[in-house]
This record gives sequence, structure tokens and C-alpha cells, in this order.
Amino acid sequence: MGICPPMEYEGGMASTLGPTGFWILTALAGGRRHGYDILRDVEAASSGRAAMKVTTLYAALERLEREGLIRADGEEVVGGRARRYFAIVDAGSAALEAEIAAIEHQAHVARERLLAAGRPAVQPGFGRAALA
Amino acid sequence: MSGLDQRRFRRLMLWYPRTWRRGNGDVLLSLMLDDAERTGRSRPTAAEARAAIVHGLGARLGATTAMIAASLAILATAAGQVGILFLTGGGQAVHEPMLFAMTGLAPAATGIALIALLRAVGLLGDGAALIAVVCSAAAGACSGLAGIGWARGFDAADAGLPQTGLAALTLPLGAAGILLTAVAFALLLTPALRRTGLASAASILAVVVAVIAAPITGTIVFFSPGTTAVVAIAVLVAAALPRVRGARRRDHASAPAPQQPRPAAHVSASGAALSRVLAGVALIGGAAGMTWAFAGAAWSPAARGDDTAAMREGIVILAISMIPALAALGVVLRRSRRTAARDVWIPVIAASTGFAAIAGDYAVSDGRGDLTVGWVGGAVAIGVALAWWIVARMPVGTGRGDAIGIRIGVGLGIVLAYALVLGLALTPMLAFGAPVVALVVLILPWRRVSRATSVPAAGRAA
Repeated sequence: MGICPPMEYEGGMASTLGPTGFWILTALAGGRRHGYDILRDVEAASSGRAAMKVTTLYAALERLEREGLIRADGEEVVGGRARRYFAIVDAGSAALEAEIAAIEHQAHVARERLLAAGRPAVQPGFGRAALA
Repeated sequence: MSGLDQRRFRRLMLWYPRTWRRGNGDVLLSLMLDDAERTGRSRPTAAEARAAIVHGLGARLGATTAMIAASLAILATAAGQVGILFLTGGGQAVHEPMLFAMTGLAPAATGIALIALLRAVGLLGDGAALIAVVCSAAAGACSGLAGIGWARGFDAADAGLPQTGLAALTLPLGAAGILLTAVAFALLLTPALRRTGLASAASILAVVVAVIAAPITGTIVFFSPGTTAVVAIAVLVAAALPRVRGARRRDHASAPAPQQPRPAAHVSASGAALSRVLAGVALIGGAAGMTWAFAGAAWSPAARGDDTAAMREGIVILAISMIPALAALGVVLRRSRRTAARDVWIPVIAASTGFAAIAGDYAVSDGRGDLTVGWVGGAVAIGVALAWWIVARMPVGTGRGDAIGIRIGVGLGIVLAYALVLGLALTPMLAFGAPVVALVVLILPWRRVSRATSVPAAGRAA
């Protein structure tokens, strides 16, 4: 099964986007891309932590399209291989914004707890990201 | 990369349904080949192959599968009911397959239909759906065999013989069926509960609900096959909805579908007025019928204090009131012209005929409960209306020769199942829906019309 389970964050809300959906929307936030391009972009942007199988990507794209967060945006054949482009839509941008807010909330809570316990705060770029 | 073994990748595509491959196969295959080249592989990894198999099999669980499985469940229930009621000869050789159809095949097919429906609308992932399908099929097999064992056990007890073979296995088989049903329920419930915000507690709550619901469901399935048919009909109707069919089409061919221009709402003043008048008549008739049914014994000269007779008279009025209510509904549904005239009016006429038959039967029969031509005819006519409504909206392929055969088969199954399993008991009661249908026609569509008419006006103003 390709779709990751939803995340939860303090406050009782659950995200249905999931890490895979988050990274795909992040890749598409920069413009329309085809499947393979998304795959590479996600791997690079997540430093390899969100690398996914092709079928996982495809299942996630199907789900995001069904949920109205992205849309197919044309096809072309390059070097004998078919490529389908996808683009983020307004609802997808809004979902990504909400996801970012949730992650920031998680990070804020975690940082406060660490500070309250007298441990050094996590520096940006150090350790694993909240989504990993 | 020259060493790329494309055949191995192409072979993975065979796990996907043909319609899906037609729309997505080349894109997915290219994606796999690109990824293999980048990572220096000549063939799919074991994990990649497993993922493709799960995804491919999952893609087979769409709205069409839901409708086929639901139709099979309805047919199995109808066949079992007919066999047990009317085939008196043949003994176990005839009755046991009928029993298995009702207590095993029908619930398993209904479960698979429900799973396919949930997967089609995105409420269930591929892996969970496939495991749930296997559990549902195995639970159906256990339940069907337990049904046969139960019947054999009764026969053995009557003859004073010991419980052996399947008869002795009735309880273990029933328990296994319930356990498998609980697993399937837990799989179906978990994603739905996660969406409500119960992320961490969702799995636990799903298991608790499944453990409680499974034995209840098993008992209902075992002793009330008609309930299985009701659920199957509900799934069939849900799977035939355009929204679900749209989701299925995206599943099978996610090529960007050109946006169909929506036909402008055809707002006919005379049509609106006609439907309003018809609904008004139906509402008055429905209110009168309700009043007569529940209080008419006090004043009806024919009932003379008999509540049952007054109820029958009330049902006559309600069934007659249903005819203008259905006509009003037909006028409203035709207003947008999105549905072909025959697919609206044939069900409306068939249902109206059914209610007319019920009204006639209740007006002249003595109410002793004997089957009459009017009663059975009414149930069959409503079955025809239901079947036409569903079958006309089934997303069966358009360019295939067997599409008409599938529609006819499913349609006959629905008519048979409704008339034999539900219709006789349900159809007279449906007459009580007359004022509800009338109210729906009077209230809901007018908003739509006012929106449709207000848009051009706003456009002109701008």
C-alpha cells in the first residue's frame, strides 16, 4: 500500500495528507512536474528520507487527484517514454499551508519541552526533520 | 541503460486491470524504467514488484467491481430464497447450495462490494482493501458451511442421530466466520476513524467496534438474508452514483479528462409550475392518507372502528398520492436534462404502476394477507423501477457488446431480488413516503432554480 498513515499533532487534530502527500505537494508547489521529476525532487528535497517507490508515488498522486488537491496537466512522450504532468491546485496549496502550520506547531511544542527540561534547543538543520 | 530488461517491468503491468493499463500503463511503466535506469537496475526489485502487485490488484476494486459484487449478492439471495421456498423436491442436493448462496455467497459478495466501494471513493487503501476482501470471502465460506452444518444438525437432532461432520463443525465455522468478519471490519473502520481525528486511538476503537459488530452482523446475516440484500442494494445504488463512478474512472484512467461543459439548467416555468402543483396534490393526499391511516377508524364508515381496516384505507390514499409525487419528481429531474427522458420516465411510470396496483389491491382485497396479483404486481413494478434506475446509471463500458447483457442480467437480478425478498413486505409501506417525496420536490429544487436563474442576472448587472 502506497499511502502513508496520517500524522497527528498536539491539539487532537490529525492530518490526512501524510508525509508522501506533503512532499508531493511541496514538489508541485514549485510548478508543474511529471512523475519522475516529482520522484527526484522529493528525494532531493527530503535528503533521501522521503524517497518512495514508483507505485507509492503513483498511488499518492491518484489519491491527491481524487481529493482535488492536484490535477493532471498534460502528457508528452520523451524518448519513447510517456510522461504525465501534474499541477497543484488552490485546494492543494491550502492543504500544504495547513500542513506546514501543523508541522510548525509540532516543532514549537517539541522545542519548548526541550527548553523546559534544560536541554539545548534543536538547531535548524540538525537532526531529523519533523516529518521524517 | 542497454541492459534494462523491459519485459520484467511490462509483466508487472498485467496485475492492473485492462482499462487502468489503457489510461495509465505507459506512464507508470516509463516511470519504473526511468527509476531503474537512474538506480542502475535492470529489473524490478522484490519490493517494487510487491508494491505493483498490491497496487494493481487494488486498482481492480472500483465502482464496477462494487456493482458486480452487489449484483451477485442480490442474485444469490434471490436464488436462495426462490430455491428454498419453491423447490420442494431434491432434498439436501438442492437445498444446501441454496442455503450456501444465502448465508455464504451473498454476505461475502456484499462485503466485497462494500470494500470495493470504500476503496473507489478513497476511504480505503489498496493493501487494507485486499486483506479485507480475502477475509470477507473466507468469512462467507465459513458462514455458508456453518449454515449447511446448522441445517444438517437440525435434521440429525430430529432423527435422534449424533452430530457429525459439518453439523459438528457448525459452531467452530461460525466462530471463524465472525473472527474473519471482525478483522475485515477493523480494516474498514480504522481509516474512517483516523479521518475523524482519532489518529492514535483509531485502531483500538476500530477493533473494539469490530469485535462488537461482527457477531451481531453474523447473526443478522445468518437469520435474515433479506438484510444482506438490503445492504447489497444500498451499495449498488451508491456505486452507481456519478460521483463514485467519476472516482472509478479516475482510478482506471487518470488521463486528464476534458471538462464536460455542463448543460445550462433548463428552467421551464411551465415545468416548474407543473411539478409544484403535482407535489402540492401529493402532499395534501399524503397528509390525508396519513391521517386516515392512523385515525380513520373513528370516522370511516367502512372501517367501523377497525384500526387495521382504516390503515388499509389510508395506504390506498397514500399509494394514490404517490403517483403525482413521482410525476412531480420526474418533472424536476428532467428539468436539467442531464438524464435521458426514458431513464427518468420509465422508472417513474413503473413505480406509479406499482403504487396503483397496491392501491387497487388494498381497496378490494380482504386484508387476510394472501398473495394477490395486485400485491405481487406492485412489488414487481417497483422492482422494475428500481432496476431501471440503477442499471441505466451503471458505468458499464459503452463500446462493448456484453454491456447490454450485463445490464439485463443485473436488472433482472434486482427485479427478482426486490420482488421476492423485500418487495412484498416493503412496497405497501413505501406509500407512506408520498408526503416526503412531495416535500422534497417542493423545497429542494427551487433553490437550485433560483441560483441558476440568478447567475445570468448578476452577470448582466456586472
